[in-house]
Amino acid sequence: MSSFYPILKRELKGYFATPVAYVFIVIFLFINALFTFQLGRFFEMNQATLTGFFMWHPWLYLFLIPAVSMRLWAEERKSGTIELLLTQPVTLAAAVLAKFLAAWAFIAIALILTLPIVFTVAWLGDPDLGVVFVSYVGSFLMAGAFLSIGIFTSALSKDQAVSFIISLVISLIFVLAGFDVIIDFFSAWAPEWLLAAVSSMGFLTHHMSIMKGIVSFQDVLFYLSLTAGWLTACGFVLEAKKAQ
Amino acid sequence: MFKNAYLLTVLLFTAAIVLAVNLIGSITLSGVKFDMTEESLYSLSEGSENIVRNLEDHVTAELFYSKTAASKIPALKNYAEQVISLLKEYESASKGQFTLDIINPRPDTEEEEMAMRNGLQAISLGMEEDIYLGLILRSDLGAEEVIPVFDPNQESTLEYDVSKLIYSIGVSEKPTVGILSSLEVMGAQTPQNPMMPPQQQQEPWVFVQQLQNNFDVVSVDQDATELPEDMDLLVIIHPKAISDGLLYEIDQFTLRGGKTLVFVDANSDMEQMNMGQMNIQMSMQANYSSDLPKLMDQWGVEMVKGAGSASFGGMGGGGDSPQIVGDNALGATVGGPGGRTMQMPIYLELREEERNADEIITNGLELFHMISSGGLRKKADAPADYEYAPLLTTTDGAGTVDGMMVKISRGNPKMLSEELNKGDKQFTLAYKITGKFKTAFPDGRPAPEAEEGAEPAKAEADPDFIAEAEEETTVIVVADVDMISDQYSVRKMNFFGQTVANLINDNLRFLSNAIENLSGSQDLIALRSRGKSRRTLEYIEEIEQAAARKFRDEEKRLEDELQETRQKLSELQRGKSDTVLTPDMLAEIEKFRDEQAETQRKLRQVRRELREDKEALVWKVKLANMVVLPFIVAILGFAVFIYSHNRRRKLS
Repeated sequence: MSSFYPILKRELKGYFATPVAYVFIVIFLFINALFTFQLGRFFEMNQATLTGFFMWHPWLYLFLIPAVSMRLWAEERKSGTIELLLTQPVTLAAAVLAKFLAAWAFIAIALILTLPIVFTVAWLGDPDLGVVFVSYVGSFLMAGAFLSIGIFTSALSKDQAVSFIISLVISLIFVLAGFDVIIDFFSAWAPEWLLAAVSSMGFLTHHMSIMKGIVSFQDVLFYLSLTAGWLTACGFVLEAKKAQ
Repeated sequence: MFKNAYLLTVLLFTAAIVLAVNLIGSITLSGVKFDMTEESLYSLSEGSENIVRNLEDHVTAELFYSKTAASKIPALKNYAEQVISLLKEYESASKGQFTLDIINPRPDTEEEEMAMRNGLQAISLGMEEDIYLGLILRSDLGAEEVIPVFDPNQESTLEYDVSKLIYSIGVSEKPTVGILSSLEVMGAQTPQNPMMPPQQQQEPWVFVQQLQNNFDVVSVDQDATELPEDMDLLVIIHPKAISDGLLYEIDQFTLRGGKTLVFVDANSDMEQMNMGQMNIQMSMQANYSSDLPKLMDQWGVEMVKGAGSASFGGMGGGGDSPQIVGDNALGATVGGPGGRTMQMPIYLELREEERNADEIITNGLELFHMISSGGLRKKADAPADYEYAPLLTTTDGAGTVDGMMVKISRGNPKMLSEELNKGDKQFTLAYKITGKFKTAFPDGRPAPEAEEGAEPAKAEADPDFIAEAEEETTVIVVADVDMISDQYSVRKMNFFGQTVANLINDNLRFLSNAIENLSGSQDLIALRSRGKSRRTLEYIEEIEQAAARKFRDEEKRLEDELQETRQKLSELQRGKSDTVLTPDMLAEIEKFRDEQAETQRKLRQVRRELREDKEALVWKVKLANMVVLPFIVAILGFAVFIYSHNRRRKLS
């Protein structure tokens, strides 16, 4: 575990050494505000809540997080540095975890930079700050789950574009699983228990529940177990590739 | 190939573990959650939990919710989700005695017909589909209760409304309410005095007629020696000279968990009116107050009494009689001499600020009238473990006046007003008191009053005597009797031969809320109203309201100007034949038209400017969040990037 922190540090620093990170954050902030105020019709709704802000996060993460995660292993493999990394005295698990946490921290920074929207709403009205806090935590946990999918697909291919596409598709399945439009559509023929099971694996189901201001262990467990599952899978894939 | 098969197996295994963990989690942890909302919107209070847990029969709740149609109206959808999650809380707290079905009544379906047949109320918002958001409760014994529509405006009493319904479906009989009154609230049923000319048959007071719809109402005579059996609630109105024997019965009734609602008064207009004409001396000496000191003492409250006001202190009355509360800030408008209107400071007109919004009984009510009301005071030695909730209060600039003073100055609010100018206290006009009360008769049943000349009778020992209540109970004391009289609560109208009583204020709603609340279980009484979860953009609303005000003022000013011109025009016209227009009239008409057009133009401009105020704010907010902030991050990023790029180049 001795090289866990160096990797974490190197990775996190790496984000801010290239313009990519800033471009990502700028796009994230812009689209967030655009969706909240324009698509979410914030002023027309006349509600001092941040529901119209958080509700877009799954859809934003769907595209933005694969863009962040696609290079994580793919780049190392393309440039051959993966051999270097894995020959260092470091366990595979530590390397996966360090890369994941660095990326997660980066997302956290992007999320923190959205706080001015909260200040805006607090200035215009009296939002329930407990709900806002819980929603942030929920959004952050969900971002971790998205990220773990991206890291997994990044380990699959040398090609970043391929990684991006696969990650997008897998994430989309998880988003749609909890999308009530989809669930309503299938409700005509699928048995109820199946629908319930599928929607319980959907990001939107858990996100909506947390956005109300309720922290349930079930939601937290869902995100954490999913993240752990994908990271483990990533480790297995790398292990298999290393042996080849 | 072997490698890939191995990898696939491992991956599938991982997926299986994740699924299993979630499945187990959903079974074992489904109830573990923390409600982080400010008002605990999604949690049941203890009272509701008790009610649903103690259900004797299984109750099925059918929530009719037009999910499809409501999804287009966010405010309604949010509220519906809150209702659903609250009902689910009941379901999970009930341990299987309460089940919830959610039904989406689409148009022209059997479900919609069912909703209509059961009296649910459709919300029509001019869309293709009507929206239903109502609840039907059915118990296994066949009882049925309905909430026709959940109104988002009544959000603060949502939990109470549902709990009340669940409670009442478990209660098969109408609760019995006893009324003990020195006034003829039940109508003239008492035998008439043969010495007096026969009176017209009197109808019961309107509130009694209303109560009879939902309760079994029984009358309790003032000289009764015992209370009716199976009485759930006793209403005492204007108690005068109640015998110790009856007081003892009432005392024991409350200690056994009976609920009591008491109306006392410092000066009852109703009693005074019933007395009819009297000579001045008699009327000066008459005492129209009522009190229940023996029992109220035990509850830890008392009427505000005093030696009379400074200027009239020495005159009659005074002494120990209850004082009348007056408040210059709350005086109702009455007709004065010469058709002028005046503020009568002892006719209190209470509004939202003077009622307790946390209490179910007063929440949502807006207007109360209390006529020469007394004041209530928590006694200095009131037990600390009783809970005192003021229901109605004055402002903190109220004072008291003596009954004598009121008699002298009747019809002269100015005198009272001056007297009350010194007022600097807040008085409670109605108290709700909850606690494990103690008896006012520590020696047990009092001896019956002996008739003159006879031996004092011995007290009969009461085998069921209770000295202290085991369970908490609640009493409500109100310091005005007139407020529930027809005179000050309804306007009666003749509608095709039928008398219809229209409420003129919330006095009777207050009374029926109190009775409904008290007749429920102690769990129901303990429920509080909740704050509103609906939050609006107040700052924007303020701007809009200010703009609307400004527009109205401006409109009025311009209208006034226009009116002036119009007047000039009509003055010119006066005395002239209406066919001939003189040149100066023509000029004036021209001027009027111009001014009218100008006014319209100015008003349009004002409206545009005011709208622009709000639009400018909205635009600024959007600009700051969408452009300025990302731009700052971009600049910052660019600077850091250039800096680190240069440093790296230098290093290399």
